[in-house]
Amino acid sequence: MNLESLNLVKRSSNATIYKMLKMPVTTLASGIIFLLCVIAILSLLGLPLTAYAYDQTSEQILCAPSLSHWMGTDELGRDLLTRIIYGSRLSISIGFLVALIAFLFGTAYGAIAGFAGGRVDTLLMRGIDLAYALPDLLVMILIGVVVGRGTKGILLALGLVSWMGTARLVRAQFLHLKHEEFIEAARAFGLEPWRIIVRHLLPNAIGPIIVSLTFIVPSAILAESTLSFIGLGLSPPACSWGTLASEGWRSLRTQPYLIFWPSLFIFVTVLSFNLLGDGLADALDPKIRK
Amino acid sequence: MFRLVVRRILLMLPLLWLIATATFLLMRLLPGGPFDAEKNLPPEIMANLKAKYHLDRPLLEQYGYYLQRLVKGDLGMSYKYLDRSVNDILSNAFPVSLVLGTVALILAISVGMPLGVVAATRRGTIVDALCMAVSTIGVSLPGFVMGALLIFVFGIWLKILPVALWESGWHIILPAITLACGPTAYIARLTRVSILQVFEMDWVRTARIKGQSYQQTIIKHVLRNALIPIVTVFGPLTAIIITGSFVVEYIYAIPGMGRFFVTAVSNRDYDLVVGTTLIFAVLLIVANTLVDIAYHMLDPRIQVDTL
Repeated sequence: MNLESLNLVKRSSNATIYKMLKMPVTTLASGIIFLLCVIAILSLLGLPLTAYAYDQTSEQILCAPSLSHWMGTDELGRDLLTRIIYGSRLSISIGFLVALIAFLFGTAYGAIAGFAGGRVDTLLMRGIDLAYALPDLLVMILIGVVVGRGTKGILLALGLVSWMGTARLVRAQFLHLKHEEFIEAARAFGLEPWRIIVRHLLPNAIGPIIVSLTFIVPSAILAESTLSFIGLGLSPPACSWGTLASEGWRSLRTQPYLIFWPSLFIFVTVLSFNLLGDGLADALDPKIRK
Repeated sequence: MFRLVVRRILLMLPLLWLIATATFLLMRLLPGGPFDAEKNLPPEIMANLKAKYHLDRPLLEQYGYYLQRLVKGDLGMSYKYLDRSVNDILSNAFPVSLVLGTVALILAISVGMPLGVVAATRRGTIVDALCMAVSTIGVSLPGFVMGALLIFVFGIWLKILPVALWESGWHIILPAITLACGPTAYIARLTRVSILQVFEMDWVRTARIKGQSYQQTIIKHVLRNALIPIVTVFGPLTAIIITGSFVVEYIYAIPGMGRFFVTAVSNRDYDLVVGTTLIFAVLLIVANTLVDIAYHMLDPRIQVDTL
């Protein structure tokens, strides 16, 4: 009896189906993300993608989806598709901006903690542990109350909470890498600490950082839309997928399409980013997820 | 073991004090007071209202009053639901949320764990791919979308379940499913990874070499060991359930802690916000402490650090 047959999982069938499915799924997810980003950027540049302006009201109020209004119209006769495209600029840029904040601040914080080690590390990490004691959304809501619920306020609230995971990750990576031989060599060469961090430690830790950022984008989009939905995030006239879903919720019984379309965009976007994150994690280290 | 419990409980106090102070400061630092909505109040009445709630005193003095009250277990008065104390509101709301949260948690465990086990034992097959697809969808579906979908299908379209409120056993079904959705996906993923890690262990191979059957090895050796790490997620799960309740109780109009928290925040009802936050913090700290203790009991090799 060979050892392979004793394994609990038959390896022959193992990777094949997964790999077969994984690549196209990840590719599809990246394609969708690319498309959504293009739409958001075109909308930011002010290019008209539909026949209507985002705030253009009309006589045709609460129309079901039709040829002239693909996704229907709201109670002021505004075209829903136009508003979703307009909302994508807020929803998607919030996702990316929060990831950027997490990257800049979280990496700096984690790098200092991991590189310095000792007391500095303990002090910096205890601060994070304390903030971790409360759930993200709760802290975001409390911060949102103080900084206000405008676009900037929400961005600040999401940014202030989201960097901590990245900081933890960077610190762990640095602690692990710090004792590698090439870092010792760099030290022996007499390089300044910041140069070691930027030139040697960071490039070696960048893979996991990127994967974690890929997961921050969807969770920020999710958090913004959830906050807006329960009335503690953005509110009209601001227009994001969350506020659109929140407006649609009121007429779930009579005009279900008003909540259906924004929800679908949120779901597909979040799902695509999560799939991309999974795919990247796999590509980076096939051992992580067997 | 006893020392561990005592030490954990003693550690809870400074943590609670920190959270209480931070929440107090957050609430007082913000522009606008709880009585701003009542626009046309004469200045005398406004002054009286503020005096009643000590809002006219210096911040430090307010903080003193606040800590005194907290030590006595009094969370203060609601500024919006007049004649109701925060204790009164929360003692009514807490059981509602507890029931909903517990049902959702049980649902999530009883669906998520088998899903993870099935996926892990059929690793790499179409079954595994399907289980993981379901769980990725579960993670990506916002609570309000799931809620709206369920309400639309079962409440409005099929008309077989109530769409909102908290009255009979039937009213619990849709909110519990909505709330369980995220945790189920989370547990399924974790169970799968945990089992796959145990599969790699040498003693699993030993058990097979000994001549034990596949099923027996899974049940006797793999599951027992794989389920230990899953206990640790009880802490994060409590957090997911709490934040989930904000949305679920909002859309199903359930008079629980989550909904009171959300309305209190938009009403700037300071004491109610702080009171709810403190209860949530206590819940989370208790959950994490229980996890540490359970972990220690299940696997004595693990040394639990002192925070």
